[in-house]
Formats: sequence, C-alpha cells, structure tokens
Amino acid sequence: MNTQRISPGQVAALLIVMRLVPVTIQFPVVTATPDPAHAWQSALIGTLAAIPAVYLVFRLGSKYPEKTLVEIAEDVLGRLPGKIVSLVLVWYWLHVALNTARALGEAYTAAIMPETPMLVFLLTTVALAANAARCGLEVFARMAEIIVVIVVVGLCLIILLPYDVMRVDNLRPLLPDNIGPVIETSSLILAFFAEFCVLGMLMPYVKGQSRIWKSVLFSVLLTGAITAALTASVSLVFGATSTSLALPTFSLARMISIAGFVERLEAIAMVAWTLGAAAKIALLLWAVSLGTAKVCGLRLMRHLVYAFGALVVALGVCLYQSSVEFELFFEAKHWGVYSNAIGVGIIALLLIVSWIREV
Amino acid sequence: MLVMSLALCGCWNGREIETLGFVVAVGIDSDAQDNIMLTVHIAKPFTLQGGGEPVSREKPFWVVTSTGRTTFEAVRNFLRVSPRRLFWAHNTFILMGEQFARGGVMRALDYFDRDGETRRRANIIVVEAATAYELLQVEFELEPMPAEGGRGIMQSASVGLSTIVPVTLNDFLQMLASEGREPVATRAEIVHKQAEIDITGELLRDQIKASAALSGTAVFKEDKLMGWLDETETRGLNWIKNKVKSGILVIQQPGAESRFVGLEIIRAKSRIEVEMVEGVPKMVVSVECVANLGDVQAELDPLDLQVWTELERRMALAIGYEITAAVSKAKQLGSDVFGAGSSLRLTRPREWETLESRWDELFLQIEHEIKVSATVLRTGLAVQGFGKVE
Repeated sequence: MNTQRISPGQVAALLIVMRLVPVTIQFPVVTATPDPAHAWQSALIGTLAAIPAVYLVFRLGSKYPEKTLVEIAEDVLGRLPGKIVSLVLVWYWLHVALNTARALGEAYTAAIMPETPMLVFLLTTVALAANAARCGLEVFARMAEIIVVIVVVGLCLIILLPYDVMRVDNLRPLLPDNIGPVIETSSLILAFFAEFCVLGMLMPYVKGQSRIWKSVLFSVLLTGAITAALTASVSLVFGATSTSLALPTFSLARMISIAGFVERLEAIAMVAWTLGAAAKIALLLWAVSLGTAKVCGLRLMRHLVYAFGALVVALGVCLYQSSVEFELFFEAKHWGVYSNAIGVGIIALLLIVSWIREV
Repeated sequence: MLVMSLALCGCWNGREIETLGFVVAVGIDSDAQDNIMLTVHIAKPFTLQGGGEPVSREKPFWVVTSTGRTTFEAVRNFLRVSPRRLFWAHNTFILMGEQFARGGVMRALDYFDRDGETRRRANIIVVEAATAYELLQVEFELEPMPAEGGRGIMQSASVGLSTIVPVTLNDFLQMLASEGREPVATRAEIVHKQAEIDITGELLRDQIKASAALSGTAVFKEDKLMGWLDETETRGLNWIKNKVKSGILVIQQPGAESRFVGLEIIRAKSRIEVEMVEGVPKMVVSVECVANLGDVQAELDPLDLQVWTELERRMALAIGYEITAAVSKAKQLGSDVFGAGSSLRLTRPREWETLESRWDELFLQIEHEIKVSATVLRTGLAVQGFGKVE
C-alpha cells in the first residue's frame, strides 16, 4: 500500500514536534498544577515515567517489525476484539488531532485575533496538514525535520531570554512539602507522552529498525528537558500568578525585553504553535487514515485523509463549548486518566497478551 | 492553493498603523460616582521626526480622558473621543492617583493582565496627594515625551540612588498573589514650577508648569494603599530586599562633627533570615557594602587607619539607620513589604502554616537585628584632598 520509508532521525523529529506542540500552546503542566514552584519537578518525573511507557510501544512494534499497531492488535487479540481496540486507538489519535487544532484556534483567537472566527484557523491549518498527510509519510516527515529546528531553537530562546525578570525565590523551597500534587501533575506530562503510541504506526515504515529506540529515547529526553526548563522559566517569571495564564509560553515570550531593543518576540511562540500544530495534525491524520484503512480492509488510505480532516475541523469547533470547557478537559483527572489509559494502558495490554500467547 | 493563501494572510483583524493611537502611559482614578476614570498619553507620531525631536510647536502627545464602570468599558469609551483606535502594546506606565489607590486597585488592574495588547512590563506608579490625571499633565525639560522622561528618571533613580523601587505589573501581581508579602509601587510627586522670567521670542515651547519626581515607595496592604516610605526608608527597604545598586551615604565627618562626608555605594549585597524567637518574629538583616570616598567637607587624612575605621563604622551605622527607619515605618503601616512572612514560609514551611493566619498581628511585633560589614575601598583621585593636613 505504501512503500515510503523514513529514517530514525525523522521519527525523532516527528515525535519531538508532536510533544512540543501542547507545551507551546496551553501548557497544562503550568496551569493545572496547584504548586507552580514545583511544576518543573512534575515535568521531570513525568518524563522519567514516560521512558518505560514509550518503551512498551517500541517493544511491541519490534516484535512485529512488518506490521502497524492496528494489525498487531488484530494479531494479538483476534479479529473482532482487535478491531475494536484498533478503533479506540484511531479515535484517540483523531481526538488528539482535533484537540491540537482546537488549541491552535483558541490560542489565535485569545492572543491576537479575537474577532476572527476560530473556524478560519482550524480550516487553514487542517487543510495544510491534510494535504501533507495525503502526500504520504515521507512528505510530512521532511516537513517535521525542518520544523523541529525552528520549534526547538525558538523555545530555547523563550526559556532563556526573560532572564532579567526571573525571581529565584519563585522556585523556593526547592523540595515540595507535599509530594501528592507534584505526582498528580506529572501524570499530565505522561499523558502527553502517551500520544507517542502513534510510533506503533510509524515503525514498519522506518529503515534502520535497530536505531529506532535510540532516536525515540532521544526525543523523550529532549522534549522532557525542554518542558521542564520551560516550566521552570514560567514559574521564575510569573511566580504565584503562573497558574492563571491562559497561554504561558506566549506570555513568557511577551516578557522578553533586552535593552529595550529585542522585544515583542511572541511571534516566535506563534510560529512554534502554527508549524508544530500543522506537522502534528498531519502525522495524526495519516495515522488515523491508515489505521481505519487497515481495520476496514481498504487498499488505499489516501482517500480517507480529507474526510478525517473535515471531521477534525468540525469536531474541533463543536466538541467544546468554550475555552473554559476546553481547559477543564486538560486536568489530570480527565485528560490524564483518559490518555494514559489508552496510550499506555492499551499498549501494555497488547504486549502482555502477546507474551502470554507465546508461552 | 491560491484560495488557501488568501485565507492565510490574516487580514480579518487587520489594522493599519495609521489607524492606531499608541498609548504610552495610562493613569487610573476614580470619579465622583466611583467609576473608573482613565487618562492616557497618546503619542502623536506626526509631530516627531527621527530621533524624537519635535518638528513643530505642537506637543508630541495628546492627553485624553474616558470613564466607565470597568476599565475595559473606559478603554472602549475612548472611541467616542479618539479618531484612532487605542493601541496598548507600547504602554510603559500604569499610574494611579492616591485616592483611587486607597480604595483598592485590583478592580482596575485585571484588564491589563487579561488583554492581549497590554504587557506585564508596564511600571506601576502611585502619585501622592494628587490624581493620576494631574500627574499626566506634567512635562520634563529634557524629553519631549513625558513617558520617556519618566522612564529616564525611573532608570536613574533606581540605579544611581536606590531611593525608589521599580515595580512592574508582573511584580505587583505576584506580590498580591503570594503569601507573606505585601505589594509596593513607586511613589511619584508633582513638582510645581515657579513662574520663571517671561522670555518671549525664540523660545519655541511653552513653559513647563509642572514636572514630576520619583521619590520613595507606595506601600499597599492587599490591594489598598496604606501609606508611603520616604527616600531614606525606601533605601532601607532596598537594603533588606538586596536591591541597592548605588547611592550616596552621608555621614558626619570624623574629627569635624559639623561637617559631612559623602560615600558612594559601589557594591552592596544583603539577605534576610526570619525566625520565631519566643513567639515573636525576628528578622536578621545582613548587609555587605563597599563604598568609595566621594567628597569631604573638611580636612581628613585617609592614611590614618583610625580615621578609616571610624568612617567604616559610621557608614555601617548610617546603613543600619536606614534599615531601622524602614522597619518601623512598615510596622506603623502594618504591611509586610519586606516579605518577612514569605521568607519564613520558605525556610520553615511547617512553622509558617501555624502562623499564617496570625501573621498580620505578628508582623506588628517583628524585631530586627542588623549585621553590617561596611568597607570603604578607595579615595578617588585625591588622597588627602586640598585641605591642609597637620
């Protein structure tokens, strides 16, 4: 069906961009934590927890090097249960894609263009992403290769440049009194790493299977480090007020002022949102279409891409009534449980069942 | 593809620069009906050429007022009088009148945090015994734009004198939100100019009737203005908060008690430690300060070690005096501007939990101890000076 191949480096680029998109937009680690002084520790703990979680996907994929995740599910669980699990995974990716589109739309309307209908942003971005996804894996993998550089460099600038308004006391005391909230918030970090289960769709198309884990590990560690640093930077600059920020990274970029000359760098944040979101939606649309095609036994997935793109736009606009409802969804008790259950739970289940079958 | 690129050009909320009025400073007051009254300085770009020099007799800014029940309504109401839509991204000052500030400022500030154009870097200033509207009438001799003048004074007074505390909206909101720390802002006063000799002819600009000075600190409790710290007390506050950059310490001259010595602070570092001693909070302030001899008013022999030590001892006393002044004024106003509660929270979190609810009363009893290590390092280009040394 698809003979396109990508390199392990491109896998890393895709995963890094995918993980950094929520960081650049709503950044729930900062806004959902009750304890902003220790949110960066939540980010680190979540990242450490993500390493074994992502390893599950890799392990499963490398057991069946020729097959995508949905085919593996059918192999492992049998025809009907496999298809059901596959459809859950497909829905999950679709949901992540529409959340990404919605977040981008919310960010644009909140930050700069309040009167423009959100539909405009969703429509343009998803149209672009769907076009890329339709052209195939190789196309948006190359796209991600370019975007990852812009996003990572941009975020590093945003982390470091507001140094003059940072207040060290905002991170003190260094160790939290109560570890509970820190752990709870770290489950949110893990929930975003759970999106990495899409790796199971990518793996059969990677040349150089042996080097995949190295690049996956690299992307987990890099994005974890960036998330933790950005969290720390937001807390240093905004202190107790950081939890009330709607767009922490954007607000952080707005604080940059070097010698009254290098100012108004929020454009960096916006470039990072837009490009990152486009690449992420492309990847997810591709995974959703491919997954559906495999489940339904279709020979071509390309025809599905635009249809799912339209669905992403429609649901992105309709699924949440307001920005508040959208933000509430990203609490640890909703998104955290939901995403971890699918992205980590189902993968773990598949792996365990496949082991049992071998015995 | 062509249609898509048209959609991407982002013109829905498009605004051309000629249709915008750039706000450079905003003042907040309350009117007789307790509405929010905003006064803004809007830059008039057509009166300025490159380098900010005025090209006509026209003032380079426009002062205009609007009222509303909320800040946002007042902001929109400017559209009734301003032919250009107000653009807030370049606003550098949020000024507040004393009367308004005493009634609580939070009700007006949220807009500046929530809106997408305003920035958290704007400086917060409270004007003593006047309204923000009156403060926005002042001009400075050396700058055609008063906001530029204000920024210049802000910079020089905080770096050269340490007698003000520069506070941005970001700082202010954090001080409001955090426990055991009360907000402060910069204090401004209006300086009325005496009528000078009437010179007519080549003098292009109108005479400036009032100017402004930044001196000291406005002290808040929660979001209500409680009172003021004068310049000495403000530097005391800056000693405690480790914010002293430079400044002049004036001490009585050893050996000539009616005369003074001016010492220039070169480096200063300080920290505080707060602990509970027998149920009473105690704040230990440790200051390390290095100064240079700036000027003397009578003969002084710096080569005499005893004189040198005496200079350093008096310098330490002068620093201690400023700190004590700040502490007693803050106690009098009942506002923990030092963040003593917050440093107690950081070092002894368990203890703080039991004290938090009573902190307001406890702060009134706070005791302080000052440890100063004062060093006079250099004498400048003269050693003994031109005074005759016996």
